[in-house]
Amino acid sequence: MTSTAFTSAAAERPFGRMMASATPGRSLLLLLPAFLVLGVILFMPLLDLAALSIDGGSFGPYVKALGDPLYVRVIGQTFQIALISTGICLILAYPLAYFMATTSPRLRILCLLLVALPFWTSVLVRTYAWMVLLGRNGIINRLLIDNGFIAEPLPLIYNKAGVILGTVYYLLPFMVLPIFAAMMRVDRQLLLAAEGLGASAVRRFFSIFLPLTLGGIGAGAALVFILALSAFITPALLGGGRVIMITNLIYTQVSQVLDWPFAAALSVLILVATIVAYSCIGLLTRRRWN
Amino acid sequence: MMASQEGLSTQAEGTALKIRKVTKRYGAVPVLNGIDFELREGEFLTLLGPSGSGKTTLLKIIAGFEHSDAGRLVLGGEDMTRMPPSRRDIGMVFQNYALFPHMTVEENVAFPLRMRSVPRREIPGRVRQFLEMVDLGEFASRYPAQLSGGQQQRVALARATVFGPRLLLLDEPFGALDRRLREAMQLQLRELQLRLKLSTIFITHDQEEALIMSDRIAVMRDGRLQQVAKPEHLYRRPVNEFVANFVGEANILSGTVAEDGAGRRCLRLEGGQMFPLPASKGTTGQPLSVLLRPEHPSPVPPGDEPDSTITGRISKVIYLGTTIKYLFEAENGLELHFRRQASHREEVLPVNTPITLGWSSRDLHLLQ
Repeated sequence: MTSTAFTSAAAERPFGRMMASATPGRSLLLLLPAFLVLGVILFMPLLDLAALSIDGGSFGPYVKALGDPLYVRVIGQTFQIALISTGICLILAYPLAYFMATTSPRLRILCLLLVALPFWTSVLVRTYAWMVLLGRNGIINRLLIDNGFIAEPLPLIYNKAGVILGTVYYLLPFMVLPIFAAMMRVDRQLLLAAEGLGASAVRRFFSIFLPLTLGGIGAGAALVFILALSAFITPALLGGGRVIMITNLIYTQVSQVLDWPFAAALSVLILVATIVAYSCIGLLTRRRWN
Repeated sequence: MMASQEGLSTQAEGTALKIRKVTKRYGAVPVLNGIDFELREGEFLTLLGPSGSGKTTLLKIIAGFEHSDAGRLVLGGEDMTRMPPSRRDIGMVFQNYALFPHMTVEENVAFPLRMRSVPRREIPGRVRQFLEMVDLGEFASRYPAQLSGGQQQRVALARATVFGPRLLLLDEPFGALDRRLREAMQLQLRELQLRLKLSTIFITHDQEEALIMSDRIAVMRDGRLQQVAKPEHLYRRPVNEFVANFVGEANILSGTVAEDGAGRRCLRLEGGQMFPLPASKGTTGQPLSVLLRPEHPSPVPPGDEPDSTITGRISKVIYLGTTIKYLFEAENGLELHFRRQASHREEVLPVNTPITLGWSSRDLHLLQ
């Protein structure tokens, strides 16, 4: 008798139902810890930063950042490098992701491993490795000179191309993985259907495959562009002080010039640019169909 | 197990597709073994078989998504064995419809027209015409995800027919639909097919669906064609036990050919019963199986004397509304099922009723 009562009571309140019957107000409680942490360590400092940039009610730091040709050039260069890096990443990542999505499962796992491998070493170490490879007395220049191909070492780093190379290398996995994921989600039957309906390989790609993987391109491009905008180590090391990006400028302002309001204004500018870029990419690659 | 192909001699209507000795294996596993048949112009032919019988593989080979190891395909007089799918001009409806999710209904249906470089001005009108034909006129600007299963199905059908294909292929298109919708779609598809005079190959594992829709049915099993015939022919004169069991319900009686006292050819069962055979075929002692459809045996009314009778009792009753299915067990253990049309004048027989069943030897069909 008791055991029946127990089982029927248990059957009336299975775990899932207990969860579902919780009021919305109570389930919002679950968000509280995360909200508190984010509020304290992210939003409050951000507000603080914004307040700092207009310290004393003046927009002076912003006028300086957007008015002085020197700083405008740094901002322009930052966007240029981020944009070019994103483009190169996309061109390199798309065919690679396609190969990974269509190859045998074994080779796919190997490729995934190789793509993710750089994540296991620090960016700093990897960037130094590039310096060893590309420097004035680096391996490549030495090989070329020793074999008599060139007389003077080639300027492979400490210029824009070097920074772009380093950025692309550092951010490529962030482009490959979302595109790869999007490609894996494409139903192969759609491509067969298109083929049966008369579409050539080129048209199958542009009418079906590309539009269906646009979401992955958007996610990858947003990640890479935003990370490239705020890259610090790569331009600092591979730019060698000759290629300055916003982050390097902020660092100098904070650590050497001690112009905190100006550094804060530059940070807010990056933040705004990031949000704008993210929204634009989101709008361009939005899935309208569901 | 020879495939028989009744009725192929009348080729006045012309042949849409010839399939000649098509063979396919995956590794060491043969999936298609010498498939050979013809589809006439405007004919609706169903490939019927259980899963694993090779019907989907055959359809993929016809569409061009797979290649046969041996054999030829001739479409409208043109050899297309090695032609890429994009040049075959075949409309196909996939099992899961395969609608392009990023295109509206209208764009989906326009797709094959755009691929064929149909003049831009002509596309909207033609798309509209076909959407209206499948009753989807007002859904033109929706995306597939906003449609029900039955509606998606109709979009797929419009897309596969809008460009006037030489052949229409359908791979179990109604599998995911509920019963009522499925019946409505069956009628709609058949109507459309007749109106457009489309040569059609339809795949199903549902024998009832095959009987409803088809001009002819090709029954497949383990990669071999068993029989290609009209539905009523397939039902009445199946070539073997497999076809007899797969299409409709069947009593199969197996035994040897014998002769009774009156000199008639009979089937002698293991239990010793003798049933006269319709034709004096076969030699005495030869093993033989015959088919007796459940609608033929019936309780023998007093005074009637059919040439075959057996006594026993009712062991199970299944009431189906318009008909009643009975399972009958003879005194010596032989089981038969038979069916009666439900009628207000006839009581449903309860279990254990002793009865005598009788049939005419003409109702028996000899199997190979």
